[in-house]
Amino acid sequence: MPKVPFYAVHVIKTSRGGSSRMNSTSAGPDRRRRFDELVGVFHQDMYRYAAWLCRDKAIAEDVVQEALLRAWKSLDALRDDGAAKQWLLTIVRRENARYFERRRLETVDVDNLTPSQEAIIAEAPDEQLDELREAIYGLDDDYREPLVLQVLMGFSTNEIAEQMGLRQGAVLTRLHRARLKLKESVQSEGALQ
Amino acid sequence: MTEDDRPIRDAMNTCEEYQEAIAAESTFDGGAGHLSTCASCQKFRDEMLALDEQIGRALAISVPEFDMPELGDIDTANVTALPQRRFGAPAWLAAAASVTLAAFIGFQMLSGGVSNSALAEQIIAHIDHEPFSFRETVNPVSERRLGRVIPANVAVLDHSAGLITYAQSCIINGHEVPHLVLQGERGPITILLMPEEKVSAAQSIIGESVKGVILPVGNGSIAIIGEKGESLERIEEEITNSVTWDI
Repeated sequence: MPKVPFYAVHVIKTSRGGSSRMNSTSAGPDRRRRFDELVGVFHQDMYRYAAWLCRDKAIAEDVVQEALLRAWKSLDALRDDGAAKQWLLTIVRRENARYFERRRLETVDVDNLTPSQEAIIAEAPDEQLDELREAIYGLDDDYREPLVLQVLMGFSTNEIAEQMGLRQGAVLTRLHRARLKLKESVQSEGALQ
Repeated sequence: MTEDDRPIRDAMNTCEEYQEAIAAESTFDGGAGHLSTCASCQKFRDEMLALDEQIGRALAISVPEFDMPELGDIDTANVTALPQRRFGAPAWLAAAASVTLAAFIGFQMLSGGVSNSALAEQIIAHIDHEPFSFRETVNPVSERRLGRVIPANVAVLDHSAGLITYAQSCIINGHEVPHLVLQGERGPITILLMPEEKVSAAQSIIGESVKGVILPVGNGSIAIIGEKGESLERIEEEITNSVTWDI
């Protein structure tokens, strides 16, 4: 099983552009090297995004595996490695949707979670964060996803709108409501200090 | 006003406007004039910044050790010239291309019962859709991947049945099924474990250069497809014995 090195520098060379076509002696290794590099940089983001989309660590692993396979197959469609993060997260999003189309498991009972679901909330030995994590977990998908994209992935509201197929105004509204819900939750738990 | 109609404000004249903006984006840097004179909004902004810091920490869950999936060879259409293939699989790739529905020869019932050609058509279409699974290789998929693709209530299968070089959860007839490729004597052999696809009788699949069978196994079925000339009987027995759904 090949292990992908994790690179310390989270910057990808940009603008391969139309010159990504390779000659007969370098296409295979270069293609694989390029893929390994992208995945090495963005795997953590892919996994965390998947985990917060599906709210289940085991499913997130499967979603990421499937997303990686799809990304590998269509790598040549990615002309600019500078856009790789959004490209990979879009693939994760689609794979997650496919997964739930197959299984129809949309409803999650927060009071009756499986161990794999519970793992997201209770993974860190930090009670204060646990409360907040549980509140995030309990947010509607429509609110949780833009929050993850903004706070964790560093996307602008324009990028979030593009990723989610929404207008920017809708994204702003969802983010606003998400934060107010979380603020309310953590204040009632006394977690925000 | 729907959420889509929400205005994107540049000028912040009221506390409500400012707090909406800062709650949507805690790094929002507009409304400096209002903020400088409003203690309430300053407090709200500080709370939002603190909340975001906490949200960021809460979202940054630990990431498990990374396993790269088996990627396989990709015949990249927009690479001008491909390197020489590592695997000598032209026969199977040609077979894959030839096993299109249009070229499909037919299905034949080995015994009585109602023909389930729709299932066979889906299987062939699916195999056509994943030609990269046909590669000839000596590299097995990991036990971990096998375990992930084959649930214990479907089958218990390891490499003792043969060298399994491809394992993927796929959709056949609306159901998720393990799709495996095992290296046979003549080339790769495709196996689909379909616990929810009941067929009334064994059904053969015959293509230009491939042959296969859909076998009833309890309330489900298995499909095994290899090259013509491949002896599938042993594989059929191995796979049937590995199945753990009710037989």
